[in-house]
Amino acid sequence: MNDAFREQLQYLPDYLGAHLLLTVSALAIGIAISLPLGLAATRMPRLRAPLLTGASIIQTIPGLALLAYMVVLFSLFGFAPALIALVLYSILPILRNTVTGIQQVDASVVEAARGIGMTENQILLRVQLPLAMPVIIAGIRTATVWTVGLATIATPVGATSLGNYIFSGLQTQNNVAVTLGCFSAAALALILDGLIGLMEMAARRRNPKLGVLAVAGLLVVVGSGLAPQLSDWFGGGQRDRIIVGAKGFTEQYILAEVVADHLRDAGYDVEVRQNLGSTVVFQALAGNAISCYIDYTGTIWANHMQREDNPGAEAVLAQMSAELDSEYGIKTLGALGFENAYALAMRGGDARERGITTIDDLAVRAPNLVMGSDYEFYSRPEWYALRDAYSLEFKDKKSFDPSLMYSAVADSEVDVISAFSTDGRIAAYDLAVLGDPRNALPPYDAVLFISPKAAEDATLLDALRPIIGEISDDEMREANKIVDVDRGTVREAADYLNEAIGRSLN
Amino acid sequence: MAFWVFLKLGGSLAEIRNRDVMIEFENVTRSFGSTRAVHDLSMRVAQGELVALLGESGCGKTTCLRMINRLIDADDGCIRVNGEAVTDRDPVALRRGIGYVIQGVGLFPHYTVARNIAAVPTLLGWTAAEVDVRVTELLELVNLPANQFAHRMPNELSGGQQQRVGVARALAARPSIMLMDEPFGALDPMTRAELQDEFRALQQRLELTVVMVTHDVSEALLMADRIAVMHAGQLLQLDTPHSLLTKPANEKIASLMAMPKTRADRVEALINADEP
Repeated sequence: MNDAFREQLQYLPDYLGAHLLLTVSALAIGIAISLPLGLAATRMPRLRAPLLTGASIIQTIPGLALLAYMVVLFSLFGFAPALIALVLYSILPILRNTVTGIQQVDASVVEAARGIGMTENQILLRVQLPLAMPVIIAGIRTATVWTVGLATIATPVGATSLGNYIFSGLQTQNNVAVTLGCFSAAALALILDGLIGLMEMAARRRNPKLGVLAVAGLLVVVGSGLAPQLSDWFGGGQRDRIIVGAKGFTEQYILAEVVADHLRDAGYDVEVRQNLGSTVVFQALAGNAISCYIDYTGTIWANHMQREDNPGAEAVLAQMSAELDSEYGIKTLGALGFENAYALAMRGGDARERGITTIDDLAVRAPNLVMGSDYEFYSRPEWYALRDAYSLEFKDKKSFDPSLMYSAVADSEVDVISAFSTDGRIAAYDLAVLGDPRNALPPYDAVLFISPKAAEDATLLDALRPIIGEISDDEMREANKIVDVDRGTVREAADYLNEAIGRSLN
Repeated sequence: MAFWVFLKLGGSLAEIRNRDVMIEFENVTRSFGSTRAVHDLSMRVAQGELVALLGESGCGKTTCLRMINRLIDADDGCIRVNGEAVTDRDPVALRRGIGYVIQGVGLFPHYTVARNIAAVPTLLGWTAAEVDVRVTELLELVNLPANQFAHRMPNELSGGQQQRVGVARALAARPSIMLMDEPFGALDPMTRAELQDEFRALQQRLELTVVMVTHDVSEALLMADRIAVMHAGQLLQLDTPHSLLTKPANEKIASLMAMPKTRADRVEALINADEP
């Protein structure tokens, strides 16, 4: 067993437990909703079409979009929005199979039941439901497999699941983590599918022994998976826990660890919640669901404040801090010292050959060049500002996962990318960062935000102050390089940063 | 010849008329949408009598049957069971007191034979011991030894055995009335004949009042005390098999009743014909 695998394996009990808790709760609530709805639909045929259509429509919403809706609509964070989305997804198969299962019961059997004097409830409970049971269980089985799979994408809304392995692993190109995440989720789905399949068979063959076996198996699997979660609850582990948020890229993982280390040093119980979406993490902070996270001034300036002007780094920081404080009560503890800006970058040799050093130079050549970027850049205000300021018109525009963007430009798949200025791969791939003489892009100083509630805790603020103003561009770039280029762990990169900023280890 | 002799054994009409009236239809009408399934129908069924409702599909015979235990309610007119209007009774309680046998048998596939037969007694709240005794008794009555059959599942039985269980289930709570909707329709001819004879004997022994829907003329002639011939929702003639054969009210009934004999004659002709 190698070290990379062992390092990932330590997260398994937490991730698996959280994944199971999410899945099992969603299924339990899903059954509690769908079964009565299905029975109501068989009693009142007029309900059937609208109910099934409604459930089908929910099913057509892409999983990630449904999760995002929950966050936006209800301002929820973490377990709750993921649970609601999974419950909604589980409804269709259970509802549909309940309706079909009951409809499939031989009409002469129901006729006989009524004819010998069973009441409608007795017909339902003693005849229709038992005979429809295998079909209903088959629906629950389908819902289970869907739910286990879907729970992996609950990570960006702040719910811990096996998806944490996959999201972080993809960002840091850690194949061990990705494989472990996929394999565990698939294994969980297969095991639950098999056990519920056994229940279905027991119902079909009317074999109670087989049913008891299946239920016992389910209890063992679910019980052992949930053990860490349950001991957490009963041990009161959730008490006063500080949650540090992080978006889904390497720099954020490293900084979150550094922040967490400082809080632990001050005696706090800390949990890092990674891979949160940009909107999710901000809302979670405003709603005190997380205590702190790091963002970049330009991002808040352009996206949350909808500003297109650029009054300079200091003015942006000052105005932003004032507005976040007055509007949300969010405290800006300070800038970390480095800037992680959006910057257009090209292959170094290519730029020198064509004599391109600024975006002005690029604009002339742009019609012959292909632009590559992450998924969100083209829909961000920064892109519009940049495009309009330099009249940029590319031959083609492509989107990549941010971690793949750099190799794409290095391998000449694209010619220009919207790089992050602190990324270690800029140096590693010999990329040239182009100047922005028209100041179209706002400054992107990294700042540490504290939630309204955590801002009242002076000890917490004191514990984090040593980080403020201590991380230089070079140090951040080096830390990112440790993970992205040298294939070190996030822990190693965080240790490097801690040492660089002189964290006193005690 | 045996065919004609059997008919005479049915008992005289006068004797039946003197018994108590068990089921009575008085000007009963029932429509489904614009279709008139039963129109202004009146008839009486005496205690211990087996009346066959005979007619082609859609003539309203099944609707008549289902109105007796209120699986369908009449639009107009009155149906009395034991002198009491069925509409005054709770349908569930009414049904528990009337045996009901249908063509598809309708045994509960998830219950053993014993539990199927115990269905109504269980609904009526009999004790487990009472139910056990009754189940054994009934299985013997329909010639299915309890030790062999009580614990089987319906899908392990032949069609004839399933129908015997269906009859046993209908008899479980000792009803004095039994409604049967083409009970032997799905059986092979040998089994059907055997069950028809057995059931008729059982019915006479238990003095059951039976209304049986059938479209099989031979079945009606050979089993019923009286036959109600129906057409398009109306009762054309209600009489003993003998009277229907000898004094049909019209040409249509005459040709319907003559059918078994016509076919028997053709079979006889085959027997008498020289081998080609």
